[in-house]
Amino acid sequence: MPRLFNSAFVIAACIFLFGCAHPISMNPDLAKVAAPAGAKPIDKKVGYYLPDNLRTVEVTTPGGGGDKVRYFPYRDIESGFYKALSEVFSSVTKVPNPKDAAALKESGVTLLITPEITTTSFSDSVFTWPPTHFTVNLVCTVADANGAPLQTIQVSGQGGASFGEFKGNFSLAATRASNDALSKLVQALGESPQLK
Amino acid sequence: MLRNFRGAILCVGIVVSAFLTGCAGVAPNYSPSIDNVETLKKTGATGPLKTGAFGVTPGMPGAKAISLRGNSMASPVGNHFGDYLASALQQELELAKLYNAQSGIEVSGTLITNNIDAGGISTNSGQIEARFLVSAGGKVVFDKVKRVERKWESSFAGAVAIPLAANNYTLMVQSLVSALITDPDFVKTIRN
Repeated sequence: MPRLFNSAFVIAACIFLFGCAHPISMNPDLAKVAAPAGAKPIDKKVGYYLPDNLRTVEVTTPGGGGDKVRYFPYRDIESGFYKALSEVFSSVTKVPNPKDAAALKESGVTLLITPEITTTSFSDSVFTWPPTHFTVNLVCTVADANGAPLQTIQVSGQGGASFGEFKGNFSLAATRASNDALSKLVQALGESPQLK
Repeated sequence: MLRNFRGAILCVGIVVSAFLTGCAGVAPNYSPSIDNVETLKKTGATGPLKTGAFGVTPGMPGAKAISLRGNSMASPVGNHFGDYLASALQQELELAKLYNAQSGIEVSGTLITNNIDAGGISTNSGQIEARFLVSAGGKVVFDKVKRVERKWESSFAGAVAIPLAANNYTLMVQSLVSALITDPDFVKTIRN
């Protein structure tokens, strides 16, 4: 009977330990989201639309050792997205309702950007749960103040972190992927002739 | 008998590991709150500000590292969490385009409380308290203490509870900055 109890306890503990979703953060390092030196901001006021319900969306993707990681892509990346837009355009604001053309015009917004974020992650380690590879895909739909589509910009950021690096920061691969995606976004927006 | 004893030790080891796993490291990068940034833009500040030194109360627990279930979480910037708060405020001001290192108006302060209780198996909480000073031309024109508390759902497993506590620290600092920049006296000060 004690042996049965011990076995059951070990199995329960294993179930408890493995397969859980560990919280991480995708918060970018804002210092790394910057326009090239000497680049002049485009003299336009842009608005971006991010519905409140997206900020509370938590996604779960694979980590290592059969475990998963969970995080809030929109909430975590929003400040970096704001910084990226601020690096390219002279003025940025958050827009509560993208269909209110009158309010957009009154506020001086000439471009409206709606981001969509998808992510992937995995780890090549069977012993540790933090991801060693992370991808952030950012699709930005750009429209004018009347809602007419102008362009869709897609960038993909990659982040990697080895055990020696992430043991002090489990979110490192995700942070690096966010930094990479946002840096590429700054470049893509700045180089787009349709947005000038 | 010996086999049962070994089994019991193994079980205790697994449970202790479940509770403690997570190791420590540094707090997440500060992520400015866009609500704070938009609030700052709407304050009608007459000019840019700069951030000065944010010290820590001597002997204060959590000044250099916060204990999370026996693991420690240090600031990713500077030498202590006063530097983290200074960096947080600077990032908010920079995004709002209200930061200039040459400004004559300086926001500085002292961290008074910096704590996370991460030991709970269902909920955890944290508290931050800081004294904020605004000086203009060397004269203190604003002097107030702000305190915020935060609670979140947690887990028995340390591998979940510890990173969750670390992520909530950033949100707690956002709330502290919000408490400062929505203070009518602070707004009045930076308008003058």
